[in-house]
Amino acid sequence: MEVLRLESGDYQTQLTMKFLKRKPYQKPQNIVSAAIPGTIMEVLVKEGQQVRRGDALCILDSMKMNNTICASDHGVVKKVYIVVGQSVGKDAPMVEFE
Amino acid sequence: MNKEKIEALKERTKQLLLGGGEAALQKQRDAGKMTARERIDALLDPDSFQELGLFVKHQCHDFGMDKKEMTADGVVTGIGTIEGRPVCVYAQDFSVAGGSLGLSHARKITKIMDIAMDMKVPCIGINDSGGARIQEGINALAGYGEIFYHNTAASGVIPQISVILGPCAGGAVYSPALTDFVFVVDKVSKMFITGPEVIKTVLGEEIGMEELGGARVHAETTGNAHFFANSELECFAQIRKLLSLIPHSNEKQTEDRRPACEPKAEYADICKFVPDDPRQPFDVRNIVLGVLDDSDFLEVHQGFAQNAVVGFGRLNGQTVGVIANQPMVLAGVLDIDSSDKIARFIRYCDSFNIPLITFEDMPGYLPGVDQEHAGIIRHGAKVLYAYCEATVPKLTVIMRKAYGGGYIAMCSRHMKADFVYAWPTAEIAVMGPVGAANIIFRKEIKEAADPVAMREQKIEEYKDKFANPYVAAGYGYVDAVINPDDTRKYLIQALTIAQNKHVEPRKKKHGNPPF
Repeated sequence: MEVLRLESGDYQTQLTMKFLKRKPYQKPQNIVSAAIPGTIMEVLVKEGQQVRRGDALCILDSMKMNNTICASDHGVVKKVYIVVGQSVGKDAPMVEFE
Repeated sequence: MNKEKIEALKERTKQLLLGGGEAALQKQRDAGKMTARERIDALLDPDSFQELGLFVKHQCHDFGMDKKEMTADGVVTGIGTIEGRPVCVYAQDFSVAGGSLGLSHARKITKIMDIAMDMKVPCIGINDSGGARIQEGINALAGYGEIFYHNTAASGVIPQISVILGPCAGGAVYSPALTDFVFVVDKVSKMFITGPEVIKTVLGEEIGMEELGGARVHAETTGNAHFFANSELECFAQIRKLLSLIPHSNEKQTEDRRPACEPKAEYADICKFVPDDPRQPFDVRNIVLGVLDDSDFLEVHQGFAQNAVVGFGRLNGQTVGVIANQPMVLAGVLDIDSSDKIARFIRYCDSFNIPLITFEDMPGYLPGVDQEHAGIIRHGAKVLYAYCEATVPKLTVIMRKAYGGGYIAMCSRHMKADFVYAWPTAEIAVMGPVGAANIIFRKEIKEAADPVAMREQKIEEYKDKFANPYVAAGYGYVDAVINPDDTRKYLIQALTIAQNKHVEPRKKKHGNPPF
C-alpha cells in the first residue's frame, strides 16, 4: 500500500503503473523541435530575425509531405540548429527563440 | 432422387470445409491457434452451427485473381445457439489468403449482421485477418465501410461481441471498436492502427507487436479490450458467461430472469470488509459479492482503470449492472480512464434495459497537469451525461466518501437516481473536511494563537457536523440511512418496485454526448 495525496486528504491505496509512469509537467521551452523525423528541405529564418506567430520557419519533408513548420508565437530567433538537407530525428531541436 | 448429385454436393462441401487446405490449417494449429471452424464449434452448443454462404466466391478479376479460388471467401458465417439461445456468428479463416477481407467476404459479414438485427439475436465476430485484400483495391475498403455502417446500425439493438484471435490491424480494428465487448487472448490477439514496421520507418521508434498491441496492452493500458483470457477456450467460456447474463436484444428483459439465490456465506457479512478508518482501503468487489445472487459477478474491463469496478451480476434473479469506486486502487478517484470505463458501461446497460446499481466511495477527481491537459473535463462529463440520460432503474448506495463533484457524478439524486441509500459511515459533503475547514475558518485559523491546533479543532468540528449521511438525508437527497447488513434487502425491494419504471424520452433525434 502506498499513499495518494488528494485534495480531501491522504489515502492508503495501490498506485497503478499508468499513474506511476506519468511524466511530470515541464514548462515548455522556447524550442521548436521535430514532431516526426524527416529531412530539412528549406530553412526560412536566420538568427536574430523577428518572427510573428504563424510565420514559416522551415520546410520538413516527412510522411511524403513537405510540411511547413510555423512559429507558434511572436519572438526573436536565438539559434537555428538545422541546415538544408539535414535529416532530423523525432524531437530534434530545429529553431530556438529568445 | 439423383444420388450422384447428392454425392457431388458431399464432395464439394468436404473440399470447401478444408478452407485454405490441410497444410494451411495445420500451420494455424502449429501457431497455437484454433482454426475458424474449430473456434465456432468450441463456442457454440455442440452440433448447433448451420453454415451459410459456404459457396460464396470473390468477384475480383485483377492481378490474376480470376484464376484464384478463395474458399468461402475467407470467412465462415452462420447461425447457432449458445445455451439454447440463438446467435449469429462469423469467423475469419486465416488459412484462406490470411483471412484477408475482400468485398464478398465483407458482404457475408454484413449479411449475417442483417440477420442478427432482423431476428434480434446477438452477433459474435471472430477476427483473424491480415487486413484488406489489396488485389481488390477500394472494394476491400468499401467492405470495411459497410461493416462499420452495420455495426453502428446494430448498436443498442443487439449485443455485438468481437473476439480478436489473431491479427486485426489498420482499418479492421474499427469494427471491434464499434461493438459492445471486445475479447482478447494472451499472445494470440494483436490490434493496432499502424504496425511496428510503419512506426519504425516513420518515427524511428522500435517496438514489438506484443508490446504495441498485444492482448495485455489492450486489456490494461488502452481499454480497447473488455475481457482478457489466457487461452481461446477460456475466452469462449467468458463469452458464454456474458451471454447468459445480458438480454439478447433491446426488446428483451424479464424472460432472462433466473431463480434468486442468496450470496455465498463468506461474503454475507459485508461489514467485516470495511475498515473503521475512512482513509484505509478495502476491496469493493467483496461488497458487490456480498450483495449479488450467489456472489456471482462478471467484471468488465477488469484490468483497465482499476480504480473503478464495473460488471454484471444478478439481484433477486434479475440482471443488473454494477458500478463501484474501488478504494483499493488510487483511492477510487475518478480520472480519465475510469470515466470512460464507467460511461461506456452505463450506456450499454441503458440501451439494453439493465438496471444500474452504484456503490460509492469517492474521494474526488485525480489532480494533475496530465489529467487536466488530457481532458478530464470532457471525459468526466461522459459519466454525468450517461447517468443523466439513463432511464433504467438507478439505485445508489453511498458507502463512505461522497465529496464534491464526485458526489454529484456517482448517480446522485440530482441526476435522477430512483433510490439513494447511505450507510451510517457515509460522508456526504461539498468537499473533504480538511479543505472545507481551511476555507471556511481561514480567518480563525490564521488569527489563532496556535493555528495548527485551531485547524485540527475546526476540521474535527466540520467532520462532526457535515461528514455524515444525515445532512443529505435531512434534505431528502438520501432516501434512507441503512445498516450495511440490509443493503441487499433494500436493493431487492427497490428493484422490485422499479420493474415497471418507464420514462418517456424527450423528442429528439439524438443527444450530443461529450464523446
